[in-house]
Amino acid sequence: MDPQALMRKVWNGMIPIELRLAAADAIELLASAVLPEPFQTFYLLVPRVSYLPFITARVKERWLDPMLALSGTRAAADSATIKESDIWFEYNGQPLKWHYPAGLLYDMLVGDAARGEAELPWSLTLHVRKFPADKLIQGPSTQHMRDMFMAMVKESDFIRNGSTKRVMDLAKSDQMQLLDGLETHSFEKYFAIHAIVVPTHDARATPSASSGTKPKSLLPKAIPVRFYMLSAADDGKDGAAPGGADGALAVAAAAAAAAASRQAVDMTRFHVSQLPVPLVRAPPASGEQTTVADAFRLCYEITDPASSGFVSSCVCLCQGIGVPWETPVAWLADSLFYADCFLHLVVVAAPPLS
Amino acid sequence: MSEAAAGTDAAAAGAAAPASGQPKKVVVRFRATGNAPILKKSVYKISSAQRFQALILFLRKELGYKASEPLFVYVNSAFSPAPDEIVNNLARCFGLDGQLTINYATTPAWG
Repeated sequence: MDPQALMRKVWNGMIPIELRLAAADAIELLASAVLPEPFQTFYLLVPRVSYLPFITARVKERWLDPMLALSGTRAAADSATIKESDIWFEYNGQPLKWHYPAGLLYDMLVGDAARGEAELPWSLTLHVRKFPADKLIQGPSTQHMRDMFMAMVKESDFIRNGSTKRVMDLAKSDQMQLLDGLETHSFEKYFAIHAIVVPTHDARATPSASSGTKPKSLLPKAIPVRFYMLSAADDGKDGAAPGGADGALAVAAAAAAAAASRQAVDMTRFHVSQLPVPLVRAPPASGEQTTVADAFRLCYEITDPASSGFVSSCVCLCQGIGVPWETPVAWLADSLFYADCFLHLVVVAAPPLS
Repeated sequence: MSEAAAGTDAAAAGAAAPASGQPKKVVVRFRATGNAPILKKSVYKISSAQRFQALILFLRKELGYKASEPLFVYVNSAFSPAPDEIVNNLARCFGLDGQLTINYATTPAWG
Protein backbone atom coordinates (compact mmCIF):
# COMPACT_ATOMS: atom_id res chain seq x y z
CA MET A 1 0.00 0.00 0.00
CA ASP A 2 1.12 3.52 -0.72
CA PRO A 3 2.57 4.91 2.55
CA GLN A 4 0.47 8.05 2.24
CA ALA A 5 -2.71 5.98 1.92
CA LEU A 6 -1.71 3.97 4.99
CA MET A 7 -1.05 7.13 7.00
CA ARG A 8 -4.45 8.42 5.98
CA LYS A 9 -6.14 5.19 7.11
CA VAL A 10 -4.44 5.39 10.51
CA TRP A 11 -5.26 9.09 10.79
CA ASN A 12 -8.91 8.33 10.02
CA GLY A 13 -9.21 5.69 12.74
CA MET A 14 -12.17 6.66 14.94
CA ILE A 15 -13.67 5.48 18.19
CA PRO A 16 -17.44 5.86 18.60
CA ILE A 17 -18.05 7.18 22.11
CA GLU A 18 -21.24 7.13 24.13
CA LEU A 19 -21.36 9.69 26.93
CA ARG A 20 -23.55 9.72 30.02
CA LEU A 21 -23.49 12.41 32.66
CA ALA A 22 -22.42 11.27 36.13
CA ALA A 23 -25.51 10.88 38.33
CA ALA A 24 -24.13 13.03 41.14
CA ASP A 25 -23.36 15.83 38.69
CA ALA A 26 -26.82 15.55 37.11
CA ILE A 27 -28.41 15.95 40.53
CA GLU A 28 -26.31 19.00 41.25
CA LEU A 29 -27.03 20.63 37.88
CA LEU A 30 -30.64 19.61 37.32
CA ALA A 31 -31.85 18.39 40.71
CA SER A 32 -32.54 15.02 39.10
CA ALA A 33 -30.40 12.00 38.32
CA VAL A 34 -32.52 11.33 35.24
CA LEU A 35 -31.77 13.69 32.39
CA PRO A 36 -34.63 15.02 30.25
CA GLU A 37 -35.18 13.50 26.80
CA PRO A 38 -33.31 13.58 24.42
CA PHE A 39 -30.25 14.39 26.53
CA GLN A 40 -29.71 11.10 28.32
CA THR A 41 -26.83 10.07 26.12
CA PHE A 42 -24.56 11.86 23.69
CA TYR A 43 -22.75 10.09 20.88
CA LEU A 44 -19.73 11.25 18.96
CA LEU A 45 -16.82 9.92 16.91
CA VAL A 46 -13.38 10.70 18.31
CA PRO A 47 -10.27 10.29 16.14
CA ARG A 48 -7.82 7.82 17.74
CA VAL A 49 -4.98 10.32 17.25
CA SER A 50 -6.88 13.18 18.91
CA TYR A 51 -7.32 14.18 22.55
CA LEU A 52 -10.32 14.52 24.86
CA PRO A 53 -9.94 18.29 25.53
CA PHE A 54 -10.49 18.85 21.80
CA ILE A 55 -14.01 17.42 22.09
CA THR A 56 -15.11 19.06 25.34
CA ALA A 57 -16.18 22.31 23.66
CA ARG A 58 -18.42 20.33 21.29
CA VAL A 59 -19.84 18.23 24.14
CA LYS A 60 -20.63 21.36 26.13
CA GLU A 61 -22.14 23.33 23.24
CA ARG A 62 -24.24 20.57 21.74
CA TRP A 63 -25.22 18.58 24.81
CA LEU A 64 -24.72 20.23 28.19
CA ASP A 65 -25.64 23.82 27.30
CA PRO A 66 -28.90 23.00 25.49
CA MET A 67 -29.80 20.54 28.26
CA LEU A 68 -29.32 23.22 30.91
CA ALA A 69 -31.12 25.83 28.83
CA LEU A 70 -34.18 23.60 28.48
CA SER A 71 -34.34 22.38 32.01
CA GLY A 72 -35.57 25.50 33.70
CA THR A 73 -34.89 27.32 36.91
CA ARG A 74 -31.77 25.89 38.47
CA ALA A 75 -29.88 26.05 35.22
CA ALA A 76 -29.86 29.81 35.32
CA ALA A 77 -28.19 29.86 38.70
CA ASP A 78 -24.46 30.16 39.13
CA SER A 79 -24.34 26.70 40.60
CA ALA A 80 -25.07 25.30 37.15
CA THR A 81 -22.12 26.85 35.35
CA ILE A 82 -19.69 24.40 33.81
CA LYS A 83 -16.04 25.25 33.32
CA GLU A 84 -14.01 23.56 30.59
CA SER A 85 -11.25 22.88 33.13
CA ASP A 86 -13.68 20.94 35.36
CA ILE A 87 -14.77 18.50 32.67
CA TRP A 88 -13.30 14.99 32.84
CA PHE A 89 -14.07 11.56 31.47
CA GLU A 90 -14.28 8.26 33.30
CA TYR A 91 -14.39 4.62 32.22
CA ASN A 92 -15.11 1.81 34.70
CA GLY A 93 -14.17 4.02 37.62
CA GLN A 94 -10.94 5.18 35.97
CA PRO A 95 -10.47 8.90 35.28
CA LEU A 96 -9.02 9.14 31.75
CA LYS A 97 -5.72 10.95 31.33
CA TRP A 98 -6.75 13.77 29.04
CA HIS A 99 -3.25 14.30 27.69
CA TYR A 100 -3.10 10.75 26.26
CA PRO A 101 -4.42 10.18 22.72
CA ALA A 102 -7.96 8.73 22.68
CA GLY A 103 -6.81 5.61 20.82
CA LEU A 104 -4.13 4.93 23.39
CA LEU A 105 -6.67 5.21 26.23
CA TYR A 106 -8.96 2.75 24.47
CA ASP A 107 -6.11 0.28 23.86
CA MET A 108 -5.00 0.50 27.51
CA LEU A 109 -8.43 0.12 29.08
CA VAL A 110 -10.36 -1.99 26.58
CA GLY A 111 -7.61 -3.52 24.43
CA ASP A 112 -10.12 -5.39 22.34
CA ALA A 113 -7.63 -6.63 19.77
CA ALA A 114 -5.89 -8.55 22.56
CA ARG A 115 -8.83 -9.55 24.70
CA GLY A 116 -11.05 -10.52 21.82
CA GLU A 117 -14.04 -8.32 22.61
CA ALA A 118 -14.64 -4.84 21.35
CA GLU A 119 -16.61 -2.36 23.38
CA LEU A 120 -18.24 -0.16 20.81
CA PRO A 121 -19.53 2.36 21.28
CA TRP A 122 -17.09 3.02 24.09
CA SER A 123 -19.27 3.97 27.02
CA LEU A 124 -17.79 6.78 29.11
CA THR A 125 -19.09 8.85 31.99
CA LEU A 126 -18.74 12.60 31.79
CA HIS A 127 -18.06 14.53 34.96
CA VAL A 128 -18.30 18.29 35.42
CA ARG A 129 -17.61 18.40 39.16
CA LYS A 130 -15.01 17.07 41.66
CA PHE A 131 -12.03 17.05 39.29
CA PRO A 132 -9.69 14.25 40.50
CA ALA A 133 -6.62 16.44 40.86
CA ASP A 134 -4.67 13.59 42.45
CA LYS A 135 -5.04 11.44 39.35
CA LEU A 136 -5.15 13.86 36.43
CA ILE A 137 -3.14 16.90 35.42
CA GLN A 138 -5.12 19.92 36.48
CA GLY A 139 -6.78 22.44 34.20
CA PRO A 140 -7.59 20.59 30.97
CA SER A 141 -8.46 23.04 28.20
CA THR A 142 -7.97 23.35 24.48
CA GLN A 143 -5.02 25.69 24.98
CA HIS A 144 -3.40 23.55 27.69
CA MET A 145 -3.75 20.52 25.42
CA ARG A 146 -2.17 22.39 22.51
CA ASP A 147 0.78 23.39 24.72
CA MET A 148 1.26 19.88 26.05
CA PHE A 149 0.98 18.42 22.57
CA MET A 150 3.70 20.74 21.22
CA ALA A 151 5.91 19.75 24.18
CA MET A 152 5.44 16.08 23.24
CA VAL A 153 6.29 16.80 19.59
CA LYS A 154 9.49 18.51 20.79
CA GLU A 155 10.30 15.58 23.05
CA SER A 156 9.93 13.13 20.17
CA ASP A 157 12.01 15.40 17.92
CA PHE A 158 14.76 15.41 20.55
CA ILE A 159 14.77 11.60 20.62
CA ARG A 160 14.85 11.37 16.83
CA ASN A 161 17.44 14.02 16.15
CA GLY A 162 19.21 14.95 19.38
CA SER A 163 17.70 18.44 19.41
CA THR A 164 14.36 20.16 18.95
CA LYS A 165 15.66 22.12 15.98
CA ARG A 166 13.13 20.81 13.45
CA VAL A 167 10.21 21.89 15.63
CA MET A 168 11.80 25.14 16.81
CA ASP A 169 12.59 26.08 13.19
CA LEU A 170 8.91 25.88 12.26
CA ALA A 171 7.33 29.25 11.64
CA LYS A 172 4.67 30.21 14.17
CA SER A 173 2.06 29.82 11.42
CA ASP A 174 3.32 26.29 10.70
CA GLN A 175 3.04 25.33 14.38
CA MET A 176 -0.49 26.72 14.38
CA GLN A 177 -1.31 24.72 11.25
CA LEU A 178 -0.02 21.50 12.85
CA LEU A 179 -2.19 22.13 15.92
CA ASP A 180 -5.23 23.23 13.92
CA GLY A 181 -4.84 20.17 11.70
CA LEU A 182 -4.92 17.93 14.77
CA GLU A 183 -7.74 19.78 16.49
CA THR A 184 -9.97 19.88 13.39
CA HIS A 185 -8.77 16.45 12.21
CA SER A 186 -7.58 17.70 8.84
CA PHE A 187 -5.14 15.23 7.28
CA GLU A 188 -3.84 17.72 4.69
CA LYS A 189 -3.20 20.52 7.18
CA TYR A 190 -1.50 18.29 9.72
CA PHE A 191 0.64 16.24 7.34
CA ALA A 192 1.96 19.24 5.41
CA ILE A 193 3.80 20.21 8.62
CA HIS A 194 4.40 16.70 9.92
CA ALA A 195 6.42 16.01 6.75
CA ILE A 196 8.81 18.82 7.76
CA VAL A 197 9.21 17.57 11.33
CA VAL A 198 9.54 13.89 10.40
CA PRO A 199 10.78 13.61 6.81
CA THR A 200 9.84 10.24 5.38
CA HIS A 201 12.57 7.82 4.54
CA ASP A 202 12.35 4.35 3.13
CA ALA A 203 12.59 2.28 6.29
CA ARG A 204 12.18 -0.92 4.34
CA ALA A 205 15.54 -0.47 2.68
CA THR A 206 18.43 -1.46 4.90
CA PRO A 207 19.82 1.61 6.64
CA SER A 208 23.16 1.38 4.82
CA ALA A 209 21.47 1.20 1.43
CA SER A 210 19.10 4.05 2.14
CA SER A 211 21.86 6.30 3.38
CA GLY A 212 23.51 5.84 -0.01
CA THR A 213 20.54 7.18 -1.91
CA LYS A 214 19.10 9.65 0.57
CA PRO A 215 20.76 12.35 2.61
CA LYS A 216 21.80 10.72 5.84
CA SER A 217 20.27 13.52 7.87
CA LEU A 218 16.81 12.18 7.00
CA LEU A 219 17.44 9.05 9.03
CA PRO A 220 16.55 9.53 12.67
CA LYS A 221 19.11 8.60 15.33
CA ALA A 222 16.46 6.71 17.22
CA ILE A 223 12.72 6.08 17.29
CA PRO A 224 10.68 7.55 20.17
CA VAL A 225 8.92 4.54 21.67
CA ARG A 226 6.79 4.36 24.77
CA PHE A 227 5.52 1.06 26.18
CA TYR A 228 2.53 0.84 28.54
CA MET A 229 2.29 -2.37 30.51
CA LEU A 230 0.11 -3.38 33.46
CA SER A 231 2.28 -3.75 36.52
CA ALA A 232 1.74 -6.04 39.50
CA ALA A 233 -0.58 -4.66 42.14
CA ASP A 234 1.95 -4.84 44.95
CA ASP A 235 4.99 -3.21 43.38
CA GLY A 236 4.56 -0.21 45.61
CA LYS A 237 4.46 3.15 43.95
CA ASP A 238 2.66 3.57 40.73
CA GLY A 239 5.14 3.77 37.92
CA ALA A 240 7.92 2.12 39.91
CA ALA A 241 10.22 0.35 37.52
CA PRO A 242 10.03 -3.40 37.65
CA GLY A 243 13.67 -4.41 37.60
CA GLY A 244 14.75 -6.81 34.90
CA ALA A 245 13.14 -10.08 33.99
CA ASP A 246 11.75 -10.82 37.46
CA GLY A 247 9.83 -7.59 37.44
CA ALA A 248 8.63 -8.22 33.92
CA LEU A 249 7.41 -11.68 34.85
CA ALA A 250 5.52 -10.32 37.85
CA VAL A 251 4.01 -7.81 35.50
CA ALA A 252 3.01 -10.53 33.07
CA ALA A 253 1.37 -12.54 35.82
CA ALA A 254 -0.63 -9.51 36.90
CA ALA A 255 -1.68 -8.78 33.35
CA ALA A 256 -2.69 -12.40 32.79
CA ALA A 257 -4.73 -12.42 35.99
CA ALA A 258 -6.46 -9.21 34.96
CA ALA A 259 -7.23 -10.60 31.53
CA ALA A 260 -8.48 -13.91 32.93
CA SER A 261 -10.88 -12.35 35.40
CA ARG A 262 -11.78 -9.56 33.00
CA GLN A 263 -11.61 -7.21 35.94
CA ALA A 264 -11.56 -3.50 35.36
CA VAL A 265 -8.10 -2.34 34.38
CA ASP A 266 -6.62 0.14 36.84
CA MET A 267 -5.17 3.07 34.92
CA THR A 268 -2.63 3.86 37.64
CA ARG A 269 -1.15 0.38 37.42
CA PHE A 270 0.26 0.91 33.97
CA HIS A 271 4.01 1.06 33.98
CA VAL A 272 5.28 3.44 31.31
CA SER A 273 8.70 2.82 29.86
CA GLN A 274 10.24 5.11 27.31
CA LEU A 275 13.50 4.73 25.44
CA PRO A 276 15.11 5.99 22.26
CA VAL A 277 15.13 2.79 20.20
CA PRO A 278 17.98 2.52 17.70
CA LEU A 279 17.06 1.65 14.11
CA VAL A 280 19.47 -1.27 13.98
CA ARG A 281 20.45 -3.91 16.49
CA ALA A 282 23.58 -3.64 18.58
CA PRO A 283 26.41 -6.10 17.87
CA PRO A 284 26.64 -9.05 17.38
CA ALA A 285 23.50 -8.82 15.26
CA SER A 286 24.42 -5.36 14.03
CA GLY A 287 22.98 -4.32 10.72
CA GLU A 288 19.68 -6.06 11.34
CA GLN A 289 16.66 -3.88 11.95
CA THR A 290 15.45 -3.52 15.53
CA THR A 291 12.21 -5.41 16.07
CA VAL A 292 9.35 -4.61 18.44
CA ALA A 293 10.51 -7.51 20.66
CA ASP A 294 14.04 -6.00 20.75
CA ALA A 295 12.61 -2.62 21.71
CA PHE A 296 10.51 -4.21 24.46
CA ARG A 297 13.54 -6.04 25.92
CA LEU A 298 15.62 -2.84 25.77
CA CYS A 299 12.92 -0.82 27.49
CA TYR A 300 12.42 -3.30 30.32
CA GLU A 301 16.07 -4.32 30.51
CA ILE A 302 15.24 -7.95 29.91
CA THR A 303 18.45 -9.78 29.08
CA ASP A 304 17.46 -13.34 29.94
CA PRO A 305 17.26 -15.31 26.66
CA ALA A 306 14.60 -17.52 28.30
CA SER A 307 12.29 -14.52 28.28
CA SER A 308 11.14 -15.18 24.72
CA GLY A 309 8.29 -17.29 26.08
CA PHE A 310 7.15 -14.40 28.21
CA VAL A 311 7.34 -11.96 25.33
CA SER A 312 5.34 -14.22 23.03
CA SER A 313 2.71 -14.66 25.75
CA CYS A 314 1.92 -10.95 25.45
CA VAL A 315 0.25 -8.98 22.72
CA CYS A 316 1.59 -5.63 21.59
CA LEU A 317 -1.07 -3.16 20.48
CA CYS A 318 -0.30 -0.18 18.29
CA GLN A 319 -3.19 2.00 17.11
CA GLY A 320 -5.54 -0.81 18.12
CA ILE A 321 -3.73 -3.34 15.97
CA GLY A 322 -1.94 -6.36 17.42
CA VAL A 323 1.48 -6.08 15.81
CA PRO A 324 3.79 -9.12 15.41
CA TRP A 325 6.80 -8.96 17.75
CA GLU A 326 9.21 -9.40 14.83
CA THR A 327 7.99 -6.22 13.09
CA PRO A 328 10.86 -3.75 12.55
CA VAL A 329 10.27 -0.70 14.75
CA ALA A 330 11.20 1.60 11.86
CA TRP A 331 8.27 0.24 9.82
CA LEU A 332 5.82 0.94 12.61
CA ALA A 333 7.30 4.39 13.13
CA ASP A 334 6.61 5.16 9.47
CA SER A 335 2.88 4.65 9.64
CA LEU A 336 1.40 3.74 13.04
CA PHE A 337 2.70 6.78 14.95
CA TYR A 338 0.37 9.00 16.94
CA ALA A 339 0.05 12.71 16.18
CA ASP A 340 2.81 13.53 18.71
CA CYS A 341 5.21 11.45 16.53
CA PHE A 342 5.66 8.84 19.29
CA LEU A 343 4.99 5.14 18.92
CA HIS A 344 2.70 4.33 21.84
CA LEU A 345 2.67 0.55 22.36
CA VAL A 346 0.35 -1.15 24.84
CA VAL A 347 1.47 -4.59 26.05
CA VAL A 348 -1.19 -6.88 27.47
CA ALA A 349 -1.36 -10.60 28.18
CA ALA A 350 -2.56 -12.67 25.25
CA PRO A 351 -6.04 -14.14 25.71
CA PRO A 352 -5.98 -17.79 26.78
CA LEU A 353 -6.38 -20.21 23.89
CA SER A 354 -9.89 -21.53 23.64
CA MET B 1 22.40 3.67 22.22
CA SER B 2 24.49 6.38 23.87
CA GLU B 3 21.39 7.82 25.52
CA ALA B 4 20.40 4.46 26.96
CA ALA B 5 23.92 3.84 28.22
CA ALA B 6 24.00 7.26 29.82
CA GLY B 7 20.71 6.50 31.54
CA THR B 8 22.06 3.31 33.02
CA ASP B 9 25.17 5.17 34.17
CA ALA B 10 23.01 7.77 35.87
CA ALA B 11 21.23 5.07 37.79
CA ALA B 12 24.52 3.38 38.67
CA ALA B 13 26.01 6.69 39.79
CA GLY B 14 23.16 7.13 42.22
CA ALA B 15 23.23 5.99 45.82
CA ALA B 16 24.64 2.51 46.05
CA ALA B 17 21.49 0.51 45.50
CA PRO B 18 22.61 -3.05 45.04
CA ALA B 19 19.61 -4.80 46.50
CA SER B 20 16.81 -5.09 44.01
CA GLY B 21 13.71 -3.41 45.29
CA GLN B 22 15.72 -0.42 46.46
CA PRO B 23 14.70 2.56 44.37
CA LYS B 24 17.40 3.64 41.94
CA LYS B 25 18.56 7.23 41.96
CA VAL B 26 19.08 9.64 39.11
CA VAL B 27 21.60 12.48 39.22
CA VAL B 28 19.83 15.72 38.36
CA ARG B 29 21.55 19.03 37.66
CA PHE B 30 19.41 22.15 37.97
CA ARG B 31 20.35 25.20 35.91
CA ALA B 32 18.72 28.60 36.28
CA THR B 33 17.79 30.46 33.09
CA GLY B 34 17.09 34.15 32.65
CA ASN B 35 16.65 35.89 35.97
CA ALA B 36 15.58 32.80 37.91
CA PRO B 37 17.34 32.51 41.28
CA ILE B 38 20.27 30.12 41.51
CA LEU B 39 20.16 27.17 43.91
CA LYS B 40 22.88 26.90 46.58
CA LYS B 41 23.43 23.33 45.51
CA SER B 42 22.68 22.45 41.91
CA VAL B 43 23.18 18.67 41.78
CA TYR B 44 20.82 16.27 43.53
CA LYS B 45 20.11 12.57 43.51
CA ILE B 46 16.43 11.91 42.97
CA SER B 47 14.56 8.61 43.05
CA SER B 48 14.15 7.35 39.49
CA ALA B 49 10.62 6.07 40.13
CA GLN B 50 9.36 9.58 40.89
CA ARG B 51 7.20 11.52 38.52
CA PHE B 52 8.45 14.74 36.94
CA GLN B 53 5.84 16.50 39.10
CA ALA B 54 7.77 15.46 42.23
CA LEU B 55 10.92 16.96 40.75
CA ILE B 56 9.09 20.25 40.06
CA LEU B 57 7.72 20.31 43.63
CA PHE B 58 11.20 19.61 45.00
CA LEU B 59 12.64 22.46 42.94
CA ARG B 60 9.87 24.81 44.13
CA LYS B 61 10.61 23.87 47.72
CA GLU B 62 14.35 24.47 47.31
CA LEU B 63 13.66 27.85 45.68
CA GLY B 64 11.04 28.72 48.30
CA TYR B 65 8.50 29.31 45.53
CA LYS B 66 4.79 29.24 46.24
CA ALA B 67 2.44 27.35 43.94
CA SER B 68 1.10 30.67 42.65
CA GLU B 69 4.50 31.91 41.48
CA PRO B 70 5.29 31.02 37.87
CA LEU B 71 8.04 28.48 37.26
CA PHE B 72 8.82 26.90 33.89
CA VAL B 73 10.82 23.69 33.95
CA TYR B 74 12.58 22.15 30.95
CA VAL B 75 14.79 19.21 30.06
CA ASN B 76 18.01 19.94 28.13
CA SER B 77 16.94 23.53 27.33
CA ALA B 78 14.49 21.98 24.92
CA PHE B 79 11.03 20.94 26.12
CA SER B 80 8.77 20.55 29.17
CA PRO B 81 7.84 16.94 29.95
CA ALA B 82 4.32 16.15 31.17
CA PRO B 83 4.13 16.17 34.99
CA ASP B 84 3.32 12.45 35.06
CA GLU B 85 6.39 11.32 33.12
CA ILE B 86 8.69 9.07 35.12
CA VAL B 87 12.11 10.54 36.00
CA ASN B 88 13.80 7.26 35.07
CA ASN B 89 12.42 7.47 31.51
CA LEU B 90 13.62 11.05 31.18
CA ALA B 91 17.07 10.11 32.46
CA ARG B 92 17.31 7.18 30.03
CA CYS B 93 16.16 9.26 27.08
CA PHE B 94 17.74 12.63 27.78
CA GLY B 95 20.50 12.11 30.37
CA LEU B 96 24.06 12.79 29.32
CA ASP B 97 27.21 11.62 31.11
CA GLY B 98 25.06 10.21 33.89
CA GLN B 99 23.19 13.46 34.55
CA LEU B 100 19.77 14.75 33.67
CA THR B 101 19.89 18.51 33.06
CA ILE B 102 16.85 20.45 34.22
CA ASN B 103 16.53 24.13 33.29
CA TYR B 104 14.13 26.42 35.09
CA ALA B 105 12.93 29.92 34.41
CA THR B 106 10.36 32.36 35.75
CA THR B 107 9.14 33.21 32.24
CA PRO B 108 8.63 30.83 29.28
CA ALA B 109 12.04 30.12 27.79
CA TRP B 110 11.73 27.38 25.19
CA GLY B 111 8.09 27.58 24.20
